[in-house]
Amino acid sequence: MSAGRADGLFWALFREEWRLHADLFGGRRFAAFPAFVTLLAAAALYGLHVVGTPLADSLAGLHALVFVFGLQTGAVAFVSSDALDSLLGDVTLLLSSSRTLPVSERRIYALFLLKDALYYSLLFLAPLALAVAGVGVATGRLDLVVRAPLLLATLAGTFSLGLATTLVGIGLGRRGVVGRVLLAGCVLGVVGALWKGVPVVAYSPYGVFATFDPLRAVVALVTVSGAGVLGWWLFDPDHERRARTTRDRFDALSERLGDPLAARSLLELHRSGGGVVKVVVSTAIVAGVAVALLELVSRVVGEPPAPAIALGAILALTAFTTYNWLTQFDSLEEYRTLPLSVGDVFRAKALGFALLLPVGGAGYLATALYVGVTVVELAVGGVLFLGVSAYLFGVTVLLAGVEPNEFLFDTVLFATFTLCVVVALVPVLVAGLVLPLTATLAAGVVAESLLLGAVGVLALRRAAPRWEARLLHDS
Amino acid sequence: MDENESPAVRLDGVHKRYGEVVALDGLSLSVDRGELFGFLGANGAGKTTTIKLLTGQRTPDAGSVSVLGRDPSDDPVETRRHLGVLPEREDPPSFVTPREYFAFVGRVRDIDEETLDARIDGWTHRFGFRDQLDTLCTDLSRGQRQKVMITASFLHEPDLVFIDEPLANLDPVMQERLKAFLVDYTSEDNTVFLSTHHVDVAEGICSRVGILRDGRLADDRRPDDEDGRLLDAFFDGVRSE
Repeated sequence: MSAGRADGLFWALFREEWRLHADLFGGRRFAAFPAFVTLLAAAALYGLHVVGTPLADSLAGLHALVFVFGLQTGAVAFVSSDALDSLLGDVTLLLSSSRTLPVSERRIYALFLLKDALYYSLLFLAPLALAVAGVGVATGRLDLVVRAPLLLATLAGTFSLGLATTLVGIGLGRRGVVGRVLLAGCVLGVVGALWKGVPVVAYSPYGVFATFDPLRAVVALVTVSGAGVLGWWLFDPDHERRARTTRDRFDALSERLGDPLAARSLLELHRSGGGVVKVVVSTAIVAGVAVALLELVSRVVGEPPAPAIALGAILALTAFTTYNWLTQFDSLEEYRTLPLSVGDVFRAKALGFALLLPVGGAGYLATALYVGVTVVELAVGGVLFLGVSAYLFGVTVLLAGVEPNEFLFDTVLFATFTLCVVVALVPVLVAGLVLPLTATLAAGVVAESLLLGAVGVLALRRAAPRWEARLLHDS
Repeated sequence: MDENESPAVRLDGVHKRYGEVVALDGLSLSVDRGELFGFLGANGAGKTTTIKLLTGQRTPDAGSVSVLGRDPSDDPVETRRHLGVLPEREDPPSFVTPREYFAFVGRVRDIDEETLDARIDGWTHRFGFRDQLDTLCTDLSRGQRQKVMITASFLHEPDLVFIDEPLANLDPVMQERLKAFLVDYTSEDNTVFLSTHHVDVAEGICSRVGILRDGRLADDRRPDDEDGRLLDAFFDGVRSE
């Protein structure tokens, strides 16, 4: 392929990504998404600054989040084709052009990687860098404005590193036992180096931003490019899994639950990539964030007097991630070829959600025990966890039906959902972090939990007719 | 008119738009019970929209729709209980096996276990996919997934079935078997509403054919009518566009 043709394909891939997102997530409204990202990130960073978090810590966290985003983007694009099919429906991407056109597979994959790096840098990372510059102006840290281009470069490097790491992982994971042993060796090597205090992070893109030095910059650049080339070289786009067979588990599960739809949902969750472990990992991440937040608050304003309340509120956010996993393969359209109503589908999802709720509950319990709370605090926080979980579940179903991932890119939906979360969570979160657990506060928290639970149930009831009408009158 | 005497399908002056796009523009059509009705039309002619209206998945902007004597939008769930539906672009769920998917459909449609097993047996024999019954659907070929979807749409032996391009991805032997089955199925007073753009298929097996053009019924004939070949009628419309 000539350079000109490669250039044309690169921009075609770029345009395709934009149209895909615009088509999936709110049409023209998607154009407002970068501005929304800037505002949200600026508000979050400024808020953290106001409560005493050093900006350096926030920027380290920002790089960590971007790395995880890179990992996830790679996983969705290259591994989870089922998730992609479920999300996009019956679409064909330019990525598969090599099957029908005289284009080398490896070249198109290389262009695809470069396109992802540039696309997400412009759409997500540049708004983040802009948000940091804005916060720099607001807080008198004008050096952050000057360093905004460097920040954009290191965020792009971090994202690309995440993307490349996924490719290396997939490539090794698909190369039999030797590949998997090598993969495990790599993971253990990195973890061991971090454990032993080897300054790995100092030579990452983040390290370059934290303390700029030409040597670090060169090492980081070589690391990111090397990981990209290695991932590209190891990745086999033609990899085909052998057909998997399994014994019938549906009948027994359906019998036990009394709901075939719920049984099917849980089976799909269990058998898809990552299985139920996905739910556990999501909960563990939220639990980790909750504990980190409490430690941060302890450093800034002293030991929170009622941490169980804050933990109950934060861990209830797992309701959203759990529902996301539970609906990963769903589309209301599919069920409408069977004698099933939208209400039947939502009822089944509610049952599946209730059965997975103990995972979030275990996360709450574990963090509460780790932090150390009294039995009364534990009980009050537990009630709050249940109330907020029911509320978030109901609100999510009402707003997004069975496609909660739409929140991620539909600006209006995301803003509405964020508002619903803020209204419910902020009062109890603040109360839990600054007020001692008196009988009055406990009664107030329990009352709010019951109220939120009731709102959740009402939202769920309202969701069925809303979505039924929306589908019927689609025009 | 008694529900059992009414036509299997009737549309009267039906309009449907999607934004600026007119999908159906006063479509009127009637299909009697026991017919194998071929619904022909070019891409985007409105065939899929028509099926969505008839199966209670959408409501018309204007006009009336009747399926087995009832308006599907009055009670879509109850209507679909009596219908089989094979959408054009739908796969079975990825992470269940065909056996589990049939069990799921059986439960949703209240088919007793013994009857269900017998029917699954018949279909796996007809389509030769007994060996794939316990394979995850995501690992099946496109043709095998199509066989699963066809089987699922006939499991409850409905009085009326809407099938959209059922022969897609099937090999020639399986295509012939399915065509023979469809003819046989309608001989027992069941109705098949076959949406396709394969004129030869419609000509070969359908008892009557309607040609949809610009959201209206442009032609309605029996394949053996003497006023010209079906293929000519179909292409006449395409040429005139």
